[in-house]
Amino acid sequence: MKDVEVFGRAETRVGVREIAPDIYWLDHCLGGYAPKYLKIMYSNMASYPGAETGLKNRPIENTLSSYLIVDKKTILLDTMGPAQGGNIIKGIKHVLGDRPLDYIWISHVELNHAGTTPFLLQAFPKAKLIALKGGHHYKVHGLENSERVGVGDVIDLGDHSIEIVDPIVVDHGLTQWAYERTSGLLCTVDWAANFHPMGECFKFLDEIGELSPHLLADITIVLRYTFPWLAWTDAKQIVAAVDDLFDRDVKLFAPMHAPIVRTNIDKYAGILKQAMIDSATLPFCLAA
Amino acid sequence: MGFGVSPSPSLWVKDPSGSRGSKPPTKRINIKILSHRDNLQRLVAGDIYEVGECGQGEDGRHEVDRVYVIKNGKRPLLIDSGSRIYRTSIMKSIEDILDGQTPEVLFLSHTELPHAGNVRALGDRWPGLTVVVSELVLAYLELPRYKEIKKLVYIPAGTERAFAGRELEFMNAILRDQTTSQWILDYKTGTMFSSDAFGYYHLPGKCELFNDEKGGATREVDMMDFHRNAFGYLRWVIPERFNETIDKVFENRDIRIIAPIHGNPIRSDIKDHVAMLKRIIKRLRAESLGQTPVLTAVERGGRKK
Repeated sequence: MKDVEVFGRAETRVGVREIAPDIYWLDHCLGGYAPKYLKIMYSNMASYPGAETGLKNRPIENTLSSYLIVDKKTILLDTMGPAQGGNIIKGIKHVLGDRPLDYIWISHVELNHAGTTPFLLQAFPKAKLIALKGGHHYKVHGLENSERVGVGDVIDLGDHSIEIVDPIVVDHGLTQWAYERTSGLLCTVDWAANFHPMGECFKFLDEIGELSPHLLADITIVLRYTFPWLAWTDAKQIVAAVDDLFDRDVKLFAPMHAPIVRTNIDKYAGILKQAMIDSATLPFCLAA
Repeated sequence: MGFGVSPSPSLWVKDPSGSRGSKPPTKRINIKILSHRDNLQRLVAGDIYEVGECGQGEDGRHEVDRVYVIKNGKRPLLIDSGSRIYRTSIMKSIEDILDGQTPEVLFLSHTELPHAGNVRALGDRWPGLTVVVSELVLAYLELPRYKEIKKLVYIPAGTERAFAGRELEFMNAILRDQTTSQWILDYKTGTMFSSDAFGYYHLPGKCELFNDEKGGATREVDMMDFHRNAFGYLRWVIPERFNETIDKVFENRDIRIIAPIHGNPIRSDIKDHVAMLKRIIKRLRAESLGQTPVLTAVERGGRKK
């Protein structure tokens, strides 16, 4: 694609694309290497009820995203994993040039979201880490020198501002979500993960095509794969919280493991809510 | 925040049955102190040892970060690798326990830094080490220097398998702070390595105490606060449904010790601790709804007749 700058290949590959004025998507996408690296994960997901009709025999891949906002202050939302460390730094420098990176916002401390932090702090030594407050022992997560924010806090960047929103659906307790008020970008991190067809890296969902007929089944399975605790919930209660979340003016729906959605967001949110309900009905099996 | 504030562990505690006053302690417990600070190395039971260190958290309470060593004859096994900030003491403690033997397998409960922070160091020290993870782990994204791990084995949840002759169950963990978390049950000793589940904070000065030792009893508030922080989704979990699953986990297994990574092993009163966890699930749910939890007589601490 013309407007995507790509650094590296295979498991190190990072693409950089401007998705709104001064907002950049840094996207790790395996491309043709997806079957090699994601084989076991796909095989596992293919065993879920509902996979027969969609996921099981379709060539698909997923994505790992970070977002870079350039304003009076610059901020990176998540860092990708260690394998992408060299190329995410190249991507950031491609955008920033000689400007410093001021903030590194950590959604949560899984390695594929925060694992490049030490490399980034070497490359941008004045950058400040931002983590969610309320945790107990930050040092074991490498966040002892972080600034702490809570739900409702706003990080002022100049013309842009990031609101910390309630992370409704999480695995790790120390997780935060973000809403950028000027662009309407909502980042829900691990929630709302989804796949895209092989060879469609670095594209918005609307560039890939109409909403896939497999979308509901795919999201249902990924939700349950990622959040097995849904088995013990009344998903309708969570859906009510999702409704509150989308009361915001969301123009770019940007989870970190799915193509960015910029059209038909209401329809997409409806599919997500149904997937939450469907996912909660899947049984939890103690034995294989 | 620092981790050098833990007081020197005492080699002695008072005899639980002894008199009060200034008599010297009379019961030796099996704490082994090495020359470096904060080394919490002890025999848990059978051939299972714990190592690790304690760090002081935001509110002054401590949180331990454990690695377990199963000596397993001359074919040692490791459960988790600990945090990189404790690398020096963890590596030294493991070397000390192994006494020249070479560990064969490192099982990772999950890939979060406090658990996987020393995979690289262990692999450098023992290059033949096999690393075992849940099949849900995406190694290329979640394991540092994954290409240098010579033997990486993926295990499906809910299966039984022997490693180095040791029969283990890789349980489908019902409390996970990461999708890829697994619990591991050692059939020989009845020890369930529960990753973050059953973890708890503790007060300064109690870093090395087991729950069955004087002053070591698990405080419900410490376990509840840990679970609130580690498992942010518990606000949505319907206690009756979840607690039914907890019962199923324990009904069908001979679990005699629960060994969390962020708490000392629970060596006695397993049923009471399971009941404690179930109360905590109820309390956290009620807390999220702004309600007072309704506890049964049994849950309040009474006993079934």
